[in-house]
Amino acid sequence: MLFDFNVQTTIDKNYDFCIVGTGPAGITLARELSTSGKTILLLEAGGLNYSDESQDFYKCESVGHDGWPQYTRLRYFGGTSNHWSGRCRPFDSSDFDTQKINGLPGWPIQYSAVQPYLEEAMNILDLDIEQGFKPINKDLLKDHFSPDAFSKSPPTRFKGKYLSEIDAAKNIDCYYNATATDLTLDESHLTVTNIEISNYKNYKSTISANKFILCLGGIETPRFMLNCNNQIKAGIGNSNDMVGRCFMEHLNVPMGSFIYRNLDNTARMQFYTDDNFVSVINIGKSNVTLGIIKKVKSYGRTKAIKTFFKNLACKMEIEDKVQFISDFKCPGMGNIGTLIEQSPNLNSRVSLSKETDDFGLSRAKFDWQINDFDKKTIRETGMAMAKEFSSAGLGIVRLADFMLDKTLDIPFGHHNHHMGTTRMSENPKYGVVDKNSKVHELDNLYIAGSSVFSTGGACNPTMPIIQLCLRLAEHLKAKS
Amino acid sequence: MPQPINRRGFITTFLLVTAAPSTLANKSPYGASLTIPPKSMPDKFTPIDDKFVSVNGWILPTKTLTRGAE
Ligand SMILES: Cc1cc2nc3c(=O)[nH]c(=O)nc-3n(C[C@H](O)[C@H](O)[C@H](O)COP(=O)(O)OP(=O)(O)OC[C@H]3O[C@@H](n4cnc5c(N)ncnc54)[C@H](O)[C@@H]3O)c2cc1C
Repeated sequence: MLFDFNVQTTIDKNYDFCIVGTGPAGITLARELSTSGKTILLLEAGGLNYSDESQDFYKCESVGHDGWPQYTRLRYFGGTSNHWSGRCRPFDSSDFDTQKINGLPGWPIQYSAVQPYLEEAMNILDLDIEQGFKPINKDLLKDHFSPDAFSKSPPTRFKGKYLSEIDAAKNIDCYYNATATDLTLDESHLTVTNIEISNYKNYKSTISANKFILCLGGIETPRFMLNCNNQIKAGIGNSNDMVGRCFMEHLNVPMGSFIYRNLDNTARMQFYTDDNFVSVINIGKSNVTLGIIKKVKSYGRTKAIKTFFKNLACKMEIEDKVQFISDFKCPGMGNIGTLIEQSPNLNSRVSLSKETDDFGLSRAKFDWQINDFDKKTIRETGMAMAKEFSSAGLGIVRLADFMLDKTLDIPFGHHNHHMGTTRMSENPKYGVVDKNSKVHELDNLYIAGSSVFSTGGACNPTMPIIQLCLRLAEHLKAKS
Repeated sequence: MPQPINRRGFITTFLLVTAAPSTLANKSPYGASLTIPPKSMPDKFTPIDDKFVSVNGWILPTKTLTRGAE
């Protein structure tokens, strides 16, 4: 059943499970756990639709490289799935290799732990199971790259697809306009007893549950845990100072441009680095896209003028000098885009800002940093691609200056994949949750979402998030 | 380790980079009437290894430079 916490303010039940957040992670867990017949409280901070009032709580203080997390995440029912793009690629078994990077261990589980949930995750995301993950550009590059294999979700909007199911579920009470603001621990500080929620009019309520699962996303989950600091100053689950550390994104580096040998070729090519290449050179994984820019993006007279200059410049082969008039590419030319694995690094982190939101809670201080390992990944991958593209007779690549000159800073963008801030680890020293996504130092607090990723591979995170949620639901059902 | 390039290689590169990289492509979309205007000197020439050099960031096989575009 759905309830608006602005209207329905009395909640006097003890629930079996309390799930916080209604993005892909929270909704998947609620649906799966509801089949056990247990009672579930599902909490959503925002309303059923977008509002500036709710979105304002996502404002951060950004002190490192900015990824605009206040605008890209969405804070209402369905979470960020309300505008995700739907690109899906599963983790590879090699993503779960346990070697240390920057002194930090990788995943404490194997691929076999998530693989059984792939098909169900594909169903949830409306992916074509028969077609699977289709490799494109087969056999073009052979040495260090394979064709990328991915699948596109429509993209599934969790609100549109699952709102009525949640409303109809007898054992799910879903409260929206209900921000989780605090957790209370018992005297031993080992068990969470209650959760405090508040609506935007500052009306508060405290609810008890047997188990709590945080599904707030890769920035909000650590922020919430660090803000739960009434009983433990450093925040909940943070005795090893790991909550919020190791923030990882997929790096979007404008490596350079290319020109096809055959100028009539307009194919978009996508490649994925081979495991052998990555492990021999000791770098992260990458997904590299080579795409032709075909159109002058303008209309009417401007388009005519731009087209005239473009044609003239391409004809005279002086495009470099005329490109200030309009950003264009001549026939056969294109740009290289990337989705590159960032390694876990303690200095890249989410902590608490001195600025506060309207509840008086500290906003997130967002400090995104890459390190030398990541720079090596970027430069080695770009150079390997440039050589192989040429050797395969496809054309030639022009790498940007920063790819060749190590003294230059590397510009990079983001892919809206917020990972690693409550990472999974065997040893509590190196992470926040254990193999079962349970917070190391607490009996009944769990985390779901890409914040538990120990490493991020070079695949999009949402389908693996769903696989891990299905696994967690099975574990919780078996335990209760 | 980047390898030094021989004299012949250097001279060919010097001549070659006066033409834009698209002349390395198979076929010009604009046919034979294309006139190539005089170009400026190369800015950056960096050997990458024994098989590749970078000419203004374009990663070119050394053999293309010594034999010309095929
Ligand atoms: C533009 C864009 C494109 C993307 N494209 C892709 C793609 O192609 N492929 C892919 O795999 N991924 C993509 N992603 C990432 C994808 O959206 C996320 O991986 C996914 O939404 C994460 O799900 P989640 O449930 O963990 O978090 P979210 O979807 O962020 O959900 C978190 C939920 O928690 C709620 N919440 C937050 N704080 C509180 C609180 N204190 N109390 C109660 N509730 C709270 C929020 O309102 C929200 O509903 C994209 C993201 C963006 C922004």
